Amino acid sequence: MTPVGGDEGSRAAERTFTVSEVTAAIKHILEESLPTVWVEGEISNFNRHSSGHMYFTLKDEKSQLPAVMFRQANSRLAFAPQSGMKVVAYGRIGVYEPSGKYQLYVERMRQAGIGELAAAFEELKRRLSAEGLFDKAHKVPVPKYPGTVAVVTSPTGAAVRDVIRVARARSASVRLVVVPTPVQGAEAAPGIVSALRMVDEWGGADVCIVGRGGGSLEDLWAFNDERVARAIHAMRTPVVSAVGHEVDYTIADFVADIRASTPSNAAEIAVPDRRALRRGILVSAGRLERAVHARLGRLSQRASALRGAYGLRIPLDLIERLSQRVDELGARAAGGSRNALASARARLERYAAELAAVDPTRVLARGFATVALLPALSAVTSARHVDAGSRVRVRVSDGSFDCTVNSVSRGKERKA
Amino acid sequence: MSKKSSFENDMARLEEIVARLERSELGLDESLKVFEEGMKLAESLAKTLEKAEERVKRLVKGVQGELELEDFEGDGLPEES
Repeated sequence: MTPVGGDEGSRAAERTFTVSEVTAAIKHILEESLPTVWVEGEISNFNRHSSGHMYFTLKDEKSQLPAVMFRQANSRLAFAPQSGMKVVAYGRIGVYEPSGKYQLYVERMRQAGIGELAAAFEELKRRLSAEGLFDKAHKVPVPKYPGTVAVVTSPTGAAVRDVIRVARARSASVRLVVVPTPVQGAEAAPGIVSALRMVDEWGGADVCIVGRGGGSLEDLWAFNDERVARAIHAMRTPVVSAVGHEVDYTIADFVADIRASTPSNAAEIAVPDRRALRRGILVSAGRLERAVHARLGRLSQRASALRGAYGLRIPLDLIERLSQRVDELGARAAGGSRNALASARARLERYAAELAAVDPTRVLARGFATVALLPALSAVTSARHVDAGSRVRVRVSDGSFDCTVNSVSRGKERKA
Repeated sequence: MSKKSSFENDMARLEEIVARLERSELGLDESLKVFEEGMKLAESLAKTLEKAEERVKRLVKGVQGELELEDFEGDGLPEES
């Protein structure tokens, strides 16, 4: 370097640049000769600024290249960059004048080797599909009311927490059995395979969820492993796959009996909602009562016909009261209120007691008999139900006896 | 598996009973009998739903390769890396 205070005259011939001028010249040269480039390297010093911009260094064995990816560009990334990742970045080389630093302004970036992974995925998918592993014929229906659900996943991952949370909210009485396995890295595929085999060997699960939370394509890769695909295919226990997010499709999804979009969705598929079930049971109980009530109504019609003839009294007002109760119960069942079942039970007990009060055996105790046609035991309530030679069973209060009809005399037509 | 089958079977049986009663293809005695059965089913099904919370288990292979269940300490799990 020329010491200060040298020959001013000779230096005057040369122009003295300002820092900005030199920097601008460098900027011009660099940006002209390297308009846009693809650069492959490993990310280091990754830092996401609160502004949303990403700052990092791309490096290989010998060199480092500072890089920046602005928020607008990095919002389109298909993966979450982090230090240590191998990437291919596309952008322009620029000079950042305030610090005299050149850097790569990244516009697009993908993980290195993704191309090969995608190709391997397609190849395996095509091969297993040709082999019939994805055929609908192999799909086993997932039981509607499982008692036990196995969950093959990482015991410390997001997936296990999501499954437990959703399953508990739907039905606390369904037993969840976690079968721990690593879900990423080299250990993942063999781990998942042996966990699946354990589930089948144990045989205690009605359905098996296998999966993990979201991650990069590499993170999910074990679920694109042929060994995992074949293990799922070989499962006797129905399998629900739950890998990553909705957009993530893996080979495991194609082989599984059902693909869930996320681990939470898998829990929704595998575990029935207790409240919906309870409503269903209430509705059934209500329908049961209405049906018996209708049956009882027909009995009372017959009874009142009999009453005309024999002075038999069936408490019709009781029937009316029951009818009201049944309507009320139906309304409650439809509302599905929390206490509806408990109160329905109480009502049912009273109802059963009242039913007992109109129990035909009590009528029988007063000297009446019921007649049923053999062998079907359908009630004989009309002379038209039998012919000479019909075999009937006559029931009295303390037993029954079978008879053959000798002759039939039919009265006038009446409403049955 | 037996637990599942019984719930599933009971649900199916209840639905069948409701359908048969609604079609009123049964005699009175039979009606009352299946009504009784249906109500018992509805009660026991509802009771099954009310069952106490099952703890989350973990399936592990013991020293002799036998499979056993132990409690899974599933709460307060760390975030997935």
